[in-house]
Amino acid sequence: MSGALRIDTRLPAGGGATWTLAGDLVSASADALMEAWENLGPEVSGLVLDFGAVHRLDSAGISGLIRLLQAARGRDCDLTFERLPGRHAQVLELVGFARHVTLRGPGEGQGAPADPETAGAGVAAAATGDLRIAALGPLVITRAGEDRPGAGTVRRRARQLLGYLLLQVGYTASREAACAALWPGADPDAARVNLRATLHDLRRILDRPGAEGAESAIRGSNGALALRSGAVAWFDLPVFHSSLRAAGRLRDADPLSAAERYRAAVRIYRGELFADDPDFDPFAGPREEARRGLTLALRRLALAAFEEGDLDTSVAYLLRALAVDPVQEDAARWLMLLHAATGRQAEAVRAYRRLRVAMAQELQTKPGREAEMTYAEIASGRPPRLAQLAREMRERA
Amino acid sequence: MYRARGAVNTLAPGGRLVVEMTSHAGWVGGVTALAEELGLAAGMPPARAEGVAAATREACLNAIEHGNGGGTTQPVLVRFEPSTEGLTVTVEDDGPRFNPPQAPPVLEEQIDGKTPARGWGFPLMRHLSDRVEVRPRGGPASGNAVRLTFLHEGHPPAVEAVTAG
Repeated sequence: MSGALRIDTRLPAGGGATWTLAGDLVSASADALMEAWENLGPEVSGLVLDFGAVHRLDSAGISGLIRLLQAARGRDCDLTFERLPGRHAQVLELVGFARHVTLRGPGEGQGAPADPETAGAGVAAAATGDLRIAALGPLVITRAGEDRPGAGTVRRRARQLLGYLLLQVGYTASREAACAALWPGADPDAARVNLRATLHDLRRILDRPGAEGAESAIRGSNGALALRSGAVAWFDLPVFHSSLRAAGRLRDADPLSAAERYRAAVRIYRGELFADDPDFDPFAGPREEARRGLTLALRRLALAAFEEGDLDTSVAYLLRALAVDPVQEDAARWLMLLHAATGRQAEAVRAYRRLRVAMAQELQTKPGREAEMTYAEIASGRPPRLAQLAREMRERA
Repeated sequence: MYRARGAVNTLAPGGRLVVEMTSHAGWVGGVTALAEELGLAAGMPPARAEGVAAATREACLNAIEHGNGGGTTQPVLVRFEPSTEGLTVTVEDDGPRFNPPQAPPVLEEQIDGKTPARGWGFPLMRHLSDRVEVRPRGGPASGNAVRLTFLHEGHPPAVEAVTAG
């Protein structure tokens, strides 16, 4: 059904709201969305938009949805778009909504959160392809359960081009930008020739045998390159970040569910982002962001285990967090105290020494006063003050 | 207001249908519906024809807002040209030249309010069509022509092979 957008609001018990949309989500409807939003009470913590009867969605409608997302962020309200027709799902995926909103297709369950390790952070709603790409760690590309060539057999430039496209908004980049990223400083004509050869290599990896034209995973037009919308059914990086965001939102209201989301993120993280290409500049920023996300998840899981009285598991999470970033002085102190609390003074001392070495090597400095005092207390045999540790972990984890 | 030259039911490969439209968003719906009908008439599956309509809509809105700058005195011309390869839609305005953005906006910057929540027209056109070209319509400061190409399924993707360099 087309025409002006109609919004039917339902407020079931439990703090959520559902909007059933019907008509066209175009220019005038952006204001309708905001008006309906203003009529929602501030207590609404989750809003589901049912797209099943939305006929047209254009760029003005997208702008309206972005304004809604801005407003929802301000109230810490989660958005879910469900019963998305495939054409709308592809457009929303192209814009990047899958990174901020749960997207569900017509056949997907309503109400229950998708399993982040299988659902692809909502991208599954739009995906018609079957490529699964795991880039947190050595590159793994699979298709419908079949192992595709791993990093060892994907040529370096093809791997870098794939990663570069995966990190772009809408998996789309201009050819000029791709050339500049892969061959910085090279003669433009030579870079374009290299890009053609690299594209050929990458298509051999990503495409089914015999795939041509529109079936190819990579589209090129008008000076731009794009991984075809929907060709990638699952990509671990957005799933990882989506799990972290969900955990952060659930942390106060539902700590058990939050911990499960953090654990899901930690399971997805097999190693550093695009670990096969440690020196390729475009990967550096996203890699550091993922590393910080992992560290955060591990610290919060350490806290969750500590609060459940499972000190050994808490120690294990802290050890892993420190393996990722060894100069976290507070985490090192918590580890020392937990070792001491479980009667492992020698381990506590080793944790302190590792901190000293890491700080000297990476920061050319020494541990601060708090770490020195903790070490002195442990060395003197004084029992650790776990209540104080609990307060500190809650404040800083 | 519309003024058309050509007829849908006699439009064949090699033919042309030109619609002159008042530069106002209220008239875009009719052209959009026509674009979908022509996509179907050209033998495209319904989903593809919907894409033709959606991309044409974006090009028209762009011509009205950015090309003609919101003025209603300058018309928007929409040319539909079917061929054996597919369908080409060209949308022309009378306004000052514009350069389409090569890269799509960054959603996160728009959510954070660093940039306005707009600018998705060309990314949508590129997503929905096989090729988007923007050219000056005539002499200096005399308008823009946005040409959208929709190839039939299975047609060799000349866009990739030819423009790869």
